[in-house]
Amino acid sequence: MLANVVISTLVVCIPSTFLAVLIGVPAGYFLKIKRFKYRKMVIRIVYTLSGLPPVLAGLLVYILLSRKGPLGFLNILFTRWAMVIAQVILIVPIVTLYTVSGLKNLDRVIENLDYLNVKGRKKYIAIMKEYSKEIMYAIVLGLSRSISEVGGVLIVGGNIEGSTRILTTAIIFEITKGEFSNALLLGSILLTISFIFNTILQILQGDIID
Amino acid sequence: MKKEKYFRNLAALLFLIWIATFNFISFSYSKTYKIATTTSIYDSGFLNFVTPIFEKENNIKFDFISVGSGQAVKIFRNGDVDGIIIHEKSFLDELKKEKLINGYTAFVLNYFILVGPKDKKDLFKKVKSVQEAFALIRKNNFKFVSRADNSATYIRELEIWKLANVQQNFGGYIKSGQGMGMSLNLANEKGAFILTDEATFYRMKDTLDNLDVVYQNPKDQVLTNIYYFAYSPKKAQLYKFATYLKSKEFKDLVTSFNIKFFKKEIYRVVK
Repeated sequence: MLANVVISTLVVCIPSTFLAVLIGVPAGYFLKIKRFKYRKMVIRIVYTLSGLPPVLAGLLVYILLSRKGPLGFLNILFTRWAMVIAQVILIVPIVTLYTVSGLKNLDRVIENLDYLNVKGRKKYIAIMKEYSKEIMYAIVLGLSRSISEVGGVLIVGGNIEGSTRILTTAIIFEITKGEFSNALLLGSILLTISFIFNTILQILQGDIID
Repeated sequence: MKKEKYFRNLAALLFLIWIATFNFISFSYSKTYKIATTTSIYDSGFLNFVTPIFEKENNIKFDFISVGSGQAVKIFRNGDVDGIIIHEKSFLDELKKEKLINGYTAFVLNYFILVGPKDKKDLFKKVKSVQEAFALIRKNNFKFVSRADNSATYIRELEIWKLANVQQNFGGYIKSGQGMGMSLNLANEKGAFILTDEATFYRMKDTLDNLDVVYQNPKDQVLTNIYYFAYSPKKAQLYKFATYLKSKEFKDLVTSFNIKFFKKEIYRVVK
């Protein structure tokens, strides 16, 4: 039972962070170097969305995926897919925002690469290497947000035992039953997983903090 | 670089684990049905106790989504679930009229009880009916927690206030807007009265040290709490479950559930 909840948590949080980084990092890069008409406005919107209340994201995804909604034909409400979608919506702005602010001196780095005549794919790989710490930190931020989130995934997942019940929603469920010691146990597992994630990422990347 | 390789391998491994786990639960059963259920009968552990045998025998898997009766009906209406288990008959009659269900099966019942702070229990010794008890709470301006959430329990509570001929806008009236369990916790902390179903109360009794039953009466119609199952006509296979809920096998499970968790008869099979 407990193993199931832990697996569900990982199965929802890791891919949603992965997808969010896949979308958010390039978006942040784009916002950083491209100058276009409503750039400031777009950045302001990203700022606002980075504080999007999870329950609102949950509500929007719910309406979207409900059988009467525009994406109802997919039939994925109350599944882990729905939870992943809600979490991606929540994490992308955070990752984007961090990328925009993390890519300091990007102009100079690009200048140097141009000078060295590094082009195409190699250029992007070089940039990614240069900013690998920032990207890693964006992943950490995304993971922390996704693993602690409860309001959104509860609405779109439905807290189904064995599939959409993850650690945070299980904690809520135990509290509603008055089983506070169980809730506390689940909470400490959640914290432990978070600690393991951060440790792995730090080992992979070297210390994030200098 | 070595580090890069490790990272790539780790990412690939995580991805594989993800794909593998994402589907294994749904692969192991031939057919999954989503059932929206009212919180009380799910949170007590009842549904998870009585369904596994049926699931195994029929190669069916149920996904229970535990919400209030009001919300359960809404998501059933939207077609987001295949069946519902609720304890508010008027909702079902509406669904039947709209031809969204063919009928419904009453399968189990328990009773609503009025619980409240232990030290005020004596005041209710001479009370003859639940409406009289409610009137007494109003008269003394005692604290009373109401779920105020469109749940079946709330609808019943409103009915009783009406019978008692009392307006609920008195000082002690607290609207929790939450499920039965959370509202019981709230009542326990605040030293308030609350209308609850027996099953949830007795399951949580150990944590509710401040509360005790102040009024109960199994003969009173307004305090009878019947649970119904209904399903979408598009999911005709679910008639099997409706039949199962009337079987001897199910009846025996109810008995053993009562023995295991309550040591007395809480859920009763509806004949």
